[in-house]
Order: sequence, then C-alpha cells, then structure tokens
Amino acid sequence: MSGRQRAVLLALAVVVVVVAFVVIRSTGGDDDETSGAATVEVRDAKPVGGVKDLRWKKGQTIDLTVRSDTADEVHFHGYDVHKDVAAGGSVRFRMPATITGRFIVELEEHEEELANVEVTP
Amino acid sequence: MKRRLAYGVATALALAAVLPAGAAAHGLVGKQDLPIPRWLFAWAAAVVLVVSFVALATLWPRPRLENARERRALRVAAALEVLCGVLGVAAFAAVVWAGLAGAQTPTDNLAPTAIYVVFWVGIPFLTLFLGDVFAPFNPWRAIARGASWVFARATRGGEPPKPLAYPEWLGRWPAALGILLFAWVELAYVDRDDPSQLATMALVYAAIQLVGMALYGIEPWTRRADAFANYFSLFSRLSPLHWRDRALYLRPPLAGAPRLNAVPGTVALLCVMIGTVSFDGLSQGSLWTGTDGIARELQQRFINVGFSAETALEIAFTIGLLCMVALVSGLYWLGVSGMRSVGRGHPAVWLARRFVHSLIPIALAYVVAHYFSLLIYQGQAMGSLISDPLGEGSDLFGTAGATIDYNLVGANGIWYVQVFALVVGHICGLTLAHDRALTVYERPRDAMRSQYWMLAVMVGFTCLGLWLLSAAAQ
Repeated sequence: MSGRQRAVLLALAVVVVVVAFVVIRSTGGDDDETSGAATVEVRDAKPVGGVKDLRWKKGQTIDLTVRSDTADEVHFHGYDVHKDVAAGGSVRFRMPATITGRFIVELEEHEEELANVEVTP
Repeated sequence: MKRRLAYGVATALALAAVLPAGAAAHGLVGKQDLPIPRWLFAWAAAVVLVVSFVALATLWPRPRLENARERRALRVAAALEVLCGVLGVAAFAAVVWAGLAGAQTPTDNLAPTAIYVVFWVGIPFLTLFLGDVFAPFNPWRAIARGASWVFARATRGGEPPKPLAYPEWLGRWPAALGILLFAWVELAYVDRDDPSQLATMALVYAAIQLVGMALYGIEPWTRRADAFANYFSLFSRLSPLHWRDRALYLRPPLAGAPRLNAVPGTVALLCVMIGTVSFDGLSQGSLWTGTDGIARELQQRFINVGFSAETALEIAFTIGLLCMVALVSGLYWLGVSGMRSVGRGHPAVWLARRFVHSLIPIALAYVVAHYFSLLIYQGQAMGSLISDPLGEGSDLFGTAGATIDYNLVGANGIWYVQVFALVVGHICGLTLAHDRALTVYERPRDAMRSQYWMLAVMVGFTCLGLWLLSAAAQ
C-alpha cells in the first residue's frame, strides 16, 4: 500500500470519529422522563389502551397500581412479586427500583401482558 | 350446549391470539436486556469503522495465522477420556430423565435450562477459553465408542463391519440442517419449553446420531454430520487450546480457524448460525413482537387464511427465522461476488469456502452479545435446579432454595460486554479474512482490493448485530 492510500484511510478514520462525536453531542442523552406513579386499567382481562411502556430510573421508587375488573394474579416479573387482585379491586406495587432491565407485568392466569417496565441505570 | 362449546372455542382462540408471544423468547426468562443506548450505539459503530480503516492501512503484508505452529503442552491419560465420556452420558441421561419424569413447568424442571442455557450457550463460552470441551463429553459419541469397544471385546478382536464412505457432497449439510431445526424449536415452536417434548427430541437426536455413526463410522460422522459437535468445534478453532490425539496443544488464538476444511455445507452452517441468533435478537424486540409488530401482522394474515392462532404464529416465526438466515447468506454472497471481480476472478463457490472461516468470530460474537445475560442470569437457576431437577421439592445438594441475583451484572455491564464482543468479533473476522486474502491472491494489491468487499460484509454484520441490540429493533 502506498503512503498516500494509507494517509487517505487514516484521514477517513479521523472523519468518522469527528462525525460520531458531533452526532452524539447533538442527539443528547436518552429520554430521561420517568413514569412516577402509574396506573393500569384492566377491562375484560385486557389492559385499556394496550400494553403500557413504563420507565423508572434505578434508585427511584416503582409505583404501579393495577385496577382490574377480572379476578386474577398480577405478576411483576424479574422482581418476582405476585399479588392477587379481586374482580373490581386493585393492587399496588410500590418498591425501590433496584434491578435494571426490562420486565413484564402480566395477568398471570390469563397470560395477558399488562405493562412493559424499563428500569434504566 | 353447542353455543357454550362455540363460546369456549372462541375464548380459547382469543386467548391464543393474544398470548404474550414474544413476551420473552423463553418462558424461562424473567428479565430482558435494555436496548443499548444511542450514545453507545454511535460510539460502537464509529469504533468499528475506524478500526476497519486502520486495519486496512496497517495490517501485515504476509500471512501470519495461516501456518501458525502448535506445540504440545501435555498428554491426556486414556482413563480421563473414558471418565469424560461416562460423565457426558450421565449428564445426558439426567436431563432426559428430568424432562420426562419431572414437573412440566419449564422453570421448575432441569431440562429446559440445562439444554437452552448450559448446553447451547454455556458450552460456546467455555469453548472459547478451553478449546473443544464438548468432544470428550459428547454423550452419543461416547455411547457409540463404548458399544464398539464392547463389540471388539465380545468378538475377541473380530472385525466390525466396515463403515460406508461418508459422501463428500454431503459435507456439513446435515449439521447445518440440525442447527436450523434446533433454532426453529427454540425460537418458533410453540412448545419450545415443554420439558417432556425437549427430552423426547434429545433422545431422537441421539438415536439419529447413533444410526449415522453406525453407518459411516464414529469419527467421520461426528466430524461432519453431528450438528452440535460441529457447532462447538467451529468455535473451538478460535481457542488457543487444541485437544487432539490424547494431548493438549497450544497455538495462537484464531490460528485454528484457517485450518478449517470448508467442505460443502460449511458456508450454510455458518450462515445458519449467524442468521438464527440474529432472529433471536429480532424476535425479542417490539419491531417484531410489539402490538403493531411484524409477527402480529403476519400471524393475522395466516389466521385469515384459516390457520389456528397458534399455528399462524409458528408460521410467522418460521418465516422470520428463514428470512434472517437468507439475509445473512445474501450479505456474505454479496461480498463474495464482489471479491470475484478482483484479480484473476476465482469462482464464487471456491471463494465463499476459502473465506468462510472468517465468519466464525462473527458467529461467536453474536452468541456472546445475545446470550451473555441469559447465561449470567438464567445460568444461576441451575443452582436450585440441580438440587431439585424434577421440581418436586427434593433438595439433593442443599441448594434448592437458591434464587437468581439479577444484580450480579447491571445493565451497563451487559451493554459493554455486548458491544465489546461485537467489536472484537469484527476485528478477528477482518484479521482472518485479510490473512487468507494474502494466500489467495498473488499480488498484494489484489489481496487489498478483495478486502474492501470483505470489509463491507463485516461492517454489515457488525452493524446488523448492533442494530438488533439497539432501541430501533427492541
């Protein structure tokens, strides 16, 4: 390989780094919004308005209430908390967000996904 | 009565239609990975490009890995081989027994976690560091060797029937098909986690291997047609440890890959390996399984044609799986066709085989990136499962109460491992392809030009891998 070719390739590499840096700076951080206290409404064993995406940051408190017209068990995966809900009743999950990842909150017996919880670092 | 039945069927159908299909690729997993954040995605992609350009500009001008020497480090006693074989058969028997006799809840039974996590994901990780550790434990091979030893004893050294010659054209095609079928069961089949079905399939697989070995000889069959032996053995070529002829040899990392004899089916096997893992990544994301995801769309179409919701979902996932394998194969063939235009124009099939070993590190990088967290988290479940393999409340080793610590590695740790694996896999793939190009092309200039194409292929694979981990797909 000639010295010129080599110089061109290395220059390309520098260009990539600069572009990446600019792109990263301009897009800023990821979405920092979190869900605070959230409620999922269950009608006919289905979440009203579809599966909710909820987010909390590690160290915050997860606060999720499930109101259901169907009696079942609500399972918060990963944190592995199970709570029974009566027909027309509600259950509240209030716990510190200690584990990062994506977790599913499920109406256990109906195998119905209610919410998709993200805990970010 | 009729109306009630109709109502029941309708409810069942409605339920099946909304099964959390991709809620998790396995019913085994309680936690999924967070998509890698945008900044990390951008940095990783930039590093990949920079590394590639710098590599092109500075890589060595004479092949280095092609003829690397091995040196013997130690001998292995024959008794150790026998012991490994016995342990392998015992482990196989335990998993099958648990699957058939134990509780049929996937997370309570040893079989699903042992097969999908320890066997399928754990062994490739081990192999990278320790060499082909599966070979000595390979249960069906051990059974076959035991049987042939007993035969020789019983007939006092009588000649066993001569095996048939393994057809050259068949090559690694049976292995490619085997891995594709396994991936289909893991990713598309509705009862993928059913312990007794898994155990039955394991028995059927072992039986097929025994028949194959009986017909074509133990070693020829294992070397070419045993899907798992081939799968693990490909990864072991990256390892600095090489076990052969009852001895351990040391070699530079990656040096085993250029020695790969790329018989027919080898390209297919690697494309299947990369394509199926890609689909696993895709099928966990909302792009595929979300409310408006592709899978739902496809499923609805097949329901409209008259399939049951369950079958329609299986068909949708089968299509996705095959499409990803086709995409990966297409990408590789694109690079190969590009290379054909360089220098004297070698035939495409020949080139595809000559360069296919450079896909091994990419395949392993995909495995690490996609399954590291599965191994780290679900692997811990083995703690309680070995004490209670049947899920019936026994406590053989006093560890039945062990739980999974999801904080063993945090989201940041997982992200860095994923991105690191893809970038290192990319560099290793480039290195191997570059080294091979120097022997394929007589003029260094042609070697260099051919590698623009391989570079494009590798960048394609690595970016696909990164994209599958990113928020865009997840």
